[in-house]
Amino acid sequence: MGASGARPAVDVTASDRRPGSSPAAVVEFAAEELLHGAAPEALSAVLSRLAGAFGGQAALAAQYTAGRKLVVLAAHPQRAAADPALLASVGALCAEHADGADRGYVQAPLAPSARPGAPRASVLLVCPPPDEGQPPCAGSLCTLALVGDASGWAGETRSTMRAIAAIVAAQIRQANTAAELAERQAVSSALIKGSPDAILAGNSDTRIVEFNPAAEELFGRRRDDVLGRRMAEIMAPEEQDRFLQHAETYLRSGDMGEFVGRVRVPVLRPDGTRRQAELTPWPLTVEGEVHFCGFLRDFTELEQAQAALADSEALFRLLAQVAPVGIVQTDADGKCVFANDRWCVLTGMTAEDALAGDWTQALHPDDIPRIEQEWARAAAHGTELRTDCRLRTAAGAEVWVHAGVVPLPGPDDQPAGYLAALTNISDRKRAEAERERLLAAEQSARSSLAGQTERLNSLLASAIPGVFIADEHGLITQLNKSFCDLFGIEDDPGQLIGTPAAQFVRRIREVFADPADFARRAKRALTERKPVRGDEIACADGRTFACDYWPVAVSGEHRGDLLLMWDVSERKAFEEQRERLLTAEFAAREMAELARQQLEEQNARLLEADEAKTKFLDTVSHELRTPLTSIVSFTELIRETEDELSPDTISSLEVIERNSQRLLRLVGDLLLLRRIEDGIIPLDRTPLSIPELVREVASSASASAARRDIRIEVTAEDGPTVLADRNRLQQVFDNLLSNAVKFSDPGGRVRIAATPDGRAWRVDVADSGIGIPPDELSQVYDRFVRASNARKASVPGTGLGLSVVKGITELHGGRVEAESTVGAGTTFRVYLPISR
Amino acid sequence: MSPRILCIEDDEDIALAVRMVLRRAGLDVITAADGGEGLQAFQAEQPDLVLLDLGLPVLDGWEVLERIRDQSQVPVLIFTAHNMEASEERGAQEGADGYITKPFSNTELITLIQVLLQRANREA
Repeated sequence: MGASGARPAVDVTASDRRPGSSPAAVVEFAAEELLHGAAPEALSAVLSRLAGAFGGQAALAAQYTAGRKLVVLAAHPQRAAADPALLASVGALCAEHADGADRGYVQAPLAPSARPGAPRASVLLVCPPPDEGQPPCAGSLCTLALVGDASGWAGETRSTMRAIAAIVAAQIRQANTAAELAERQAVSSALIKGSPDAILAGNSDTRIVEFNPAAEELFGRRRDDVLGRRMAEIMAPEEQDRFLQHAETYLRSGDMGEFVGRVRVPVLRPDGTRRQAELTPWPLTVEGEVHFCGFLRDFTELEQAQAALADSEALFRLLAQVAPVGIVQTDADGKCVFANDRWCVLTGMTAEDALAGDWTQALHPDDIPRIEQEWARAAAHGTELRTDCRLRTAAGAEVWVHAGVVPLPGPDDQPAGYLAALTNISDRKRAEAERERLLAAEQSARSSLAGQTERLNSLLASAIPGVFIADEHGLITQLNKSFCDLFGIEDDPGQLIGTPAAQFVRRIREVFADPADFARRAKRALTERKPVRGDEIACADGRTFACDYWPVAVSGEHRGDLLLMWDVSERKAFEEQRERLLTAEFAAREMAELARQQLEEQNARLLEADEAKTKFLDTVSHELRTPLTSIVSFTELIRETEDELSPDTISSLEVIERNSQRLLRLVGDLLLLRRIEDGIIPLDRTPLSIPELVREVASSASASAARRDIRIEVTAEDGPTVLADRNRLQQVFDNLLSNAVKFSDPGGRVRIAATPDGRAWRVDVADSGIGIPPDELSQVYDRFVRASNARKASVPGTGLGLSVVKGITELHGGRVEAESTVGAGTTFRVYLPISR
Repeated sequence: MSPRILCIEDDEDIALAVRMVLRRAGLDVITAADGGEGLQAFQAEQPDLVLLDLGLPVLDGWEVLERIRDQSQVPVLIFTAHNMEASEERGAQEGADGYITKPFSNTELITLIQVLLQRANREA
């Protein structure tokens, strides 16, 4: 910006031509200046001289980059570098030049618009020869532009400029190369420094020239300490000679010898520790000199791991072979990859057979589905399988094994295979079975012991049993008095010892009820030599003997026979008696139970009948009441028209009325009883004078009594009141009195007496009638029950009156008693509690 | 105008007797033979008192009583031939004003009806 306002950079009017500025002098000056330094100052000086020599007002040195950008390296005068018009013009020419001009220069008038009014000037542009067929100026290292009056320019001007441009380009090229080298070196250095592998380089003299940090770590030495030393010096002593020898051969002849591929090199660190390194040698020739370059990788840990792996593998194989278990290793598919000797022994397979197949082929076919199931389950959970199963050997035998199958860890959490260890547990299984058998035997022994104890008790009970022992030769060795007594043998038992047992047996056999049977049983016992316990044998005289037989064995050898015998007749008799008693008791109980059941059934039937009766009565009373309602109503209606009726009709009406009253009373009594039974009758209790009530009842009954020539006598003392329902109590005494009258003969006498008796009123109603048979006395209160003699005498009645009496009295907290003599009369006593 | 009595009773003979008894006593009587008919008559005639038998076919007396009580406080005298179905307590609970057991005497019936009518008049 500042340039446009200032003095123009190119002033074509000025002449800068100076003496001593011949083209040759200019080139020489340029070479001199530029070779000592390509700094812009030197280039500016050269440009100044160039302009001076060829009458140019300005000169530029620039680089025209491939990006079509003009980078000014130097300018003369200095301000020309900042003249936009000039730069634009030069740039345009460069572009044109780059686009095809191949003459090595371009000369063109400077655009007049760039500087109106200024004298015409031209631009001469040169580039050095292009690199590798590139068009000139396209990415030129140096472009020189001369601005001025073209008339003074000739071929030598262009060649001078080209020479200077070439020098500048060479300088630039050199600088670029140097920069590139430095960059490459920096990268190499970083690679070497950062390499995880130790890098070691030696020159032809085997002296170390490169030693990176990884090498420092591997060898345990500092770079500064080893540079310049011979490589062999840092090797382990035992390797030094060999290394030296090979290194010399290689350096001398270029023959790598054994340094081909990867070489194992032991390293001894100054601190005495050893490392294992893998060396990859790399031949290197620098300027005709053979170098040694080596890359070393520390594989001490790897080697240790590999060694450990090899060791454990070897250990595993050893263990697998000596272990007392069958071991099979399979791959992930279950195919056998290893089987130990024990496995082969277990299965009866050869090692080849074992490796050829799947270990599960050795399983007993019956166990395969179960094992497969269990294995699948274990595999799904990644756990081991532990189970008992059977193997079938090649010979067809069955072996019980405990199998433990563990997955071997592989990549991605998938098992790499399985390891199965199988322990022969046939012995254990046998032991288990044996244990169970022993347990069962012990149990049975226990129960038989209990039986023995019982038997021992009965032996004791029969005092001393008879003992008889014979030796293996059939001679009696023991015989006690009890034994002889049983059979009525009076000889001294001592005399019989040593005599043949068979002879003795012949003597005693006749005692038994069935001698032949005894002989058979004795023979069987002696032949089978099986213990016999508590065998009962009947005797001819009715006694019963019990008998034990024991074979006598010493160290498993038969040494004779033992016979115990005792009389169980008493026990037998006792047992039989007991049996009889039990049977009798049982029969008695059964009968009792039967009787109880019958009673129960009877009760149930009675209850049922009673319920049915109640229901029937309910129905009847309901059905009676409806027609009775009409009868009563209409009778009353007719009565109202009495005046119009004939005497006969009135008599007829009276019969209807009397009978309907009878029916009404029956229905009323039934309803009342029903309500009493169900406890739903309301009592309208008021303080009541019993003498008054009694007199009232007696007087109302006296009319009908008089008709039958029966007199009613009333005795009523004064006394306290009772809390009672007047109408209901009246009914009680009405019923009793009407009964008394009914059952009395004409001319008879009925007595009613009320007496306060301590805490209760006693009301006696006595007649001199037919009486009630004593065994029926307690039943007369039951519904519809009438004394048998009453029925025979055809005294009318429903059998409800006394039920009502009893029901109402009890509702009032009282009771009814009856006393009767057939043919002499009956007295009913009603007790009613006195209210306090 | 004489008081009007609605007698709901399925037994024709009893209904006839009741009608004659009440007419002689100077009362106006309407009869109905079952619950449905009785309720209809009740709505149509607006009686001053209802005689109600409990043992009615189809709609039983308790139900009829309930429906009457839904709409009116007219005196209701119930009668029944059943032993156990009714008690004075239940009758009172269900809203009956009187209770009479069959068979009843004509005088008893007339007396009860007149007592109930007088009471209703006093309250009205």
